[in-house]
Amino acid sequence: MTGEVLFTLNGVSKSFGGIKALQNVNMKVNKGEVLSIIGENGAGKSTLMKIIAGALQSDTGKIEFEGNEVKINNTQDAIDIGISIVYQEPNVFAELSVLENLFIGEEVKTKFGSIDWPEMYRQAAEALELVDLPTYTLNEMMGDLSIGNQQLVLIARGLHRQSKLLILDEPTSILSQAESEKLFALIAELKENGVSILYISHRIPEILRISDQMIVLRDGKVTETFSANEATENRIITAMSGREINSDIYRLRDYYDEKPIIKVNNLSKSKMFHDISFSIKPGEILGVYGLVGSGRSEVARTLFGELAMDSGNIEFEGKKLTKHSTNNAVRKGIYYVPEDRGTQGNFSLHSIKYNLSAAFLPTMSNKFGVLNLNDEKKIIQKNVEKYSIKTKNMEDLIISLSGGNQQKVLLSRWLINTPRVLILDEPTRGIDIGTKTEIHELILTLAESGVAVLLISSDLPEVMRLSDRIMTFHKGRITGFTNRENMTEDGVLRKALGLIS
Amino acid sequence: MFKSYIPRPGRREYLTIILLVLQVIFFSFFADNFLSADNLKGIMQNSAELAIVSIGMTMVIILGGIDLSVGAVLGIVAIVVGNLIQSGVNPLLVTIIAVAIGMSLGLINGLIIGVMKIPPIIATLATMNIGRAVVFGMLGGHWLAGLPPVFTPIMTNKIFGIPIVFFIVLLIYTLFYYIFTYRPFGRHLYAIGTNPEAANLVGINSVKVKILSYAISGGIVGIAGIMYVARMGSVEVSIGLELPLQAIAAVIIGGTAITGGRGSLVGTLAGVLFITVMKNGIVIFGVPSLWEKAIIGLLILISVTIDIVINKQITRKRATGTPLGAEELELEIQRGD
Repeated sequence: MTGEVLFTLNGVSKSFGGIKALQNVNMKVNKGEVLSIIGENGAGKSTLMKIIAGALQSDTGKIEFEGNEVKINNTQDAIDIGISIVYQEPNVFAELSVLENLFIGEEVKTKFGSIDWPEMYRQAAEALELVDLPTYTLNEMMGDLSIGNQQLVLIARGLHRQSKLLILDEPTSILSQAESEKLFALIAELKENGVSILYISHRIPEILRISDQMIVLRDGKVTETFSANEATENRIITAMSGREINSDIYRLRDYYDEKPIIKVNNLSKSKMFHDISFSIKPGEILGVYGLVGSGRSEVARTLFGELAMDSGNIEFEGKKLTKHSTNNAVRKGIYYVPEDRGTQGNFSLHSIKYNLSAAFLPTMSNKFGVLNLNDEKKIIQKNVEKYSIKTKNMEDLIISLSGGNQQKVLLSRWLINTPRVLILDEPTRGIDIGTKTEIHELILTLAESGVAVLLISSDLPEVMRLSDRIMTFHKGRITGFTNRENMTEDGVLRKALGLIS
Repeated sequence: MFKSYIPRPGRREYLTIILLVLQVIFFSFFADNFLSADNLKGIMQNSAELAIVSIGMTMVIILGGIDLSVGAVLGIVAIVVGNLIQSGVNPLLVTIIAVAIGMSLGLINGLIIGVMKIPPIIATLATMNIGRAVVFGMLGGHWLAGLPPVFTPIMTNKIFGIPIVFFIVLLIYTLFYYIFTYRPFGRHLYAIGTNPEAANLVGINSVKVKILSYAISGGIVGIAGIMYVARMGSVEVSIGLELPLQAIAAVIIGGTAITGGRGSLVGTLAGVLFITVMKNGIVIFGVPSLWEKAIIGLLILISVTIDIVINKQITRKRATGTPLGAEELELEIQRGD
């Protein structure tokens, strides 16, 4: 079985706007083999998977399946060829039974077109046996199953369709240890039966354990291909890192005060993060690096008062914050620029002006609470110029701006009043390089004026370019702090992957 | 009766059935005439239209939609039916025309919602108001009264002492139970209501299912229009004003989730009976009928509250979408990394 080529990609590229998500990717999967794809968030893993599964189309490149060139224009095409994908967050019908989830959209029918429940049940029982789930599970509601078992059901769905290539997108990121073990056993069994697996993960130990081949992606390019006997943890890390680190714009600065303005003590929240302690001084940029889902955004949102903590406390200017809420945070000068511009940041139906002034309408109003439109206009005009937001008319809708300029609007929204603590969550995601540098300059200037900055990013070069210290997160815990003098990409990455205790 | 793997009503529906039984017991003790043959016959005759219109309402609510225009459609159909029987058109032909008009009007709703993507509540609010104006215009300020009793026998004639209309309702329920349980179309209603995005990913044509559902719902209202004419023998301008509220109430009291994805016809039928028995009890007790609306409104609130409480418990139990499983975090802590 092995050795025979099942699937090849030749020169696949994909761009979103001006950003190159994938550049000239080549890969080859043999029958009955596990090929793992390793890379940080944003390296292009998900884009690659979506292209193979038909959810996205590549700009250039060829796909061959069993020796024939194929066109995958939609998800149905991929299914017809024999490619199944199980996404990271299982996409299920929670209110329907497991049996229905296995067959929905392709029900087994009698000659009158009715659903043949007994036959469907029989086939479903066989499918579940492949993934070692008991038959009685079929009658349970999908939503009542653990995530691990939901994933197994979706794998069973793929296997039942006779899939030859199964794509597993970070399957263990939501599984418990025991569930992961079960999955690995299943993968071994599937290999025996000649099924090929594309396995996406950033957990290096498990990849080394189950893979026959490994591909490392970085910034949309394949940087290294290993076979099982050549791969080591060190070689993978080296292939993942090794980028130019830009130290060009970083400037040493004196902190305004040696006493931290904000101090977090033993902050915990069940299932999200555990025992988090750190502090930031005025004028300091504390970088936070960790993979998506490592709990970093949750800590930020707790700091901003959006999520409630289970235990621990936050001190602001030496005083404990009680009854912390977003409103309270804004009044104290703790501001948060969220991760997702589209859903958490923009008032997308409104103008640039509206978006700029939304947070501080009270400061532009007189003592009776009536908004002074002249003041509003003046303040906004000043901001548009100061932060060089490229627009002809501030009455235009915010969504008419480029992503970079939208981000500048959301950032400068908070700069109408000088922040004390500014939390930035992925401030430059999906933004072109020019605007990115402008935003980086702005962040440094803010720090120089005494603002304490918490900079969260999946973009390691960005964190290293700006931060005075980097705090690394792994699975809801802090795995270390790295000072500017001994910052290396390799070292930070290792801590974020949980490889150094 | 039910094979375990065939979709069946959930616990929420049994709650409605239990409440219905308690209600019946209450009224039979405290209201003298409640169990009399005449009163039971009246309940069957008066609940027939609501019972079948609620089937269509169940479909669209499971889809995550709603249909406010059922009363207006009922009015238009009833006026056409009234005029046709006055001119002596064959009753079978009248029935076909009634269903066809209902389906066409439902189809308009379906196209607005499915193709133009206008939210169902707004789309049907608009068509309801247009429809009411049409009813007013068609009647020209007069009642359509003194209609020949062409369809009246379905209300008055009996088989085993039970009005024929009861069997018609039962037949339609059986047909739709089959559709909801054994036809892919019926199952896809639930899939779209639970997770529209996933439904698209498994290749379900949501637009088609939506258009068809509103059209079928309209067709059922067409049949209800005939029942109305049979029962009343006249059509007045306020025809069907209460129908949307009552049908939505019956569906929700019957355990269908207002957010879509969950519900059953068994529950809806229980909900219809619950409302009809309650209305009947109000009359027997001599409570002013203006309280009826207030009580129905209150019942909707209570039912939705029960749903919210149940949903909260389910989400607590399921607790998905967190970055770490609790079990995993525990293990991490034990291993000390």
